[in-house]
Amino acid sequence: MAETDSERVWALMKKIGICMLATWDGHELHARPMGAYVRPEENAVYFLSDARRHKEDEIKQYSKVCLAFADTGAQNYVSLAGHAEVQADRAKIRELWGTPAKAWWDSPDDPNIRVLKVTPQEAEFWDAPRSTVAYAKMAAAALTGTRPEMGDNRKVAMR
Amino acid sequence: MAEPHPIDRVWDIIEKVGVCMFTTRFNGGLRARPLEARPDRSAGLIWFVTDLRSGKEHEIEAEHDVGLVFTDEKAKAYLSITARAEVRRDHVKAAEIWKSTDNVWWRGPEDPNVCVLRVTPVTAELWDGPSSKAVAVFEFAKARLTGAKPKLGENRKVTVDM
Repeated sequence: MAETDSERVWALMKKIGICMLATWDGHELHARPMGAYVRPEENAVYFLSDARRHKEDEIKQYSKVCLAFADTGAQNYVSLAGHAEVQADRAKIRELWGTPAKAWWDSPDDPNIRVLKVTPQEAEFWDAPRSTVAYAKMAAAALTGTRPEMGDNRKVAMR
Repeated sequence: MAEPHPIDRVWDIIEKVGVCMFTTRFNGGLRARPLEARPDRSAGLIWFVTDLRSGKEHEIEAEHDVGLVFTDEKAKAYLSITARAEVRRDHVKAAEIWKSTDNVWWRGPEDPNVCVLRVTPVTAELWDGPSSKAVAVFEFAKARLTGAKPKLGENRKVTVDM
């Protein structure tokens, strides 16, 4: 079966793995590299984050974030706009816990660990140098049942 | 012979990586797209060629603060730049920074749809190296004016006053 645009977005995010998480602090855009736990089956991208860092405050202030995935060598790019929420879900932290997290915390029981859950709103991906630009309207299109518009950009429902 | 300035590493990455994820705000949130940077290190500016018909100019007109993200996966270098962007219909500048690959999109720098983005970087945060847990913060203007050396602290997040 042919891969849909939304499947391609999820696959590219999984492949690239590390993204720049961009937040708005009310004055400036800030971004930092974060290892992404990409879970299409949950319609979410998760991150493990530390309560002592600034981004939690920024997200509480303005929950719209952007995940920028770039594989410059392969010229694959994904921009995912989404809604972020900070959770202290121990079970989820344990589920996501692994080698990368051990660089930051000694154990999944560290009280400073938070789960950052990003629910996608829309995504845009660039698969090859300046060829296909597919614009994937995710939840919004799914909710309204709008049909994809064909034009310079392809808009598709993600789910 | 002057020692290399720490911010040179930032410009090196910009020049080497070339394509950044250019992040803007729109009323629905934040959005990024790959754009090829045309850095002018001596002027402390980064130029882009873009199209008047694409959405980002409107987003920039509405909000001048933008973000530029450069990723060098192999070197494990992650660079986040906060910047101020300005849209210009400047065909002379477009001609100056024009590349042959731009002809795929436009009929030369005189194409009426061509415009340039003049981006003034303000601060840079750099995660550099395989374990990149530490971030160094650079301020472009101070680096350019004084060329002073950074005072490195001992925190995980190092603010370099330059």
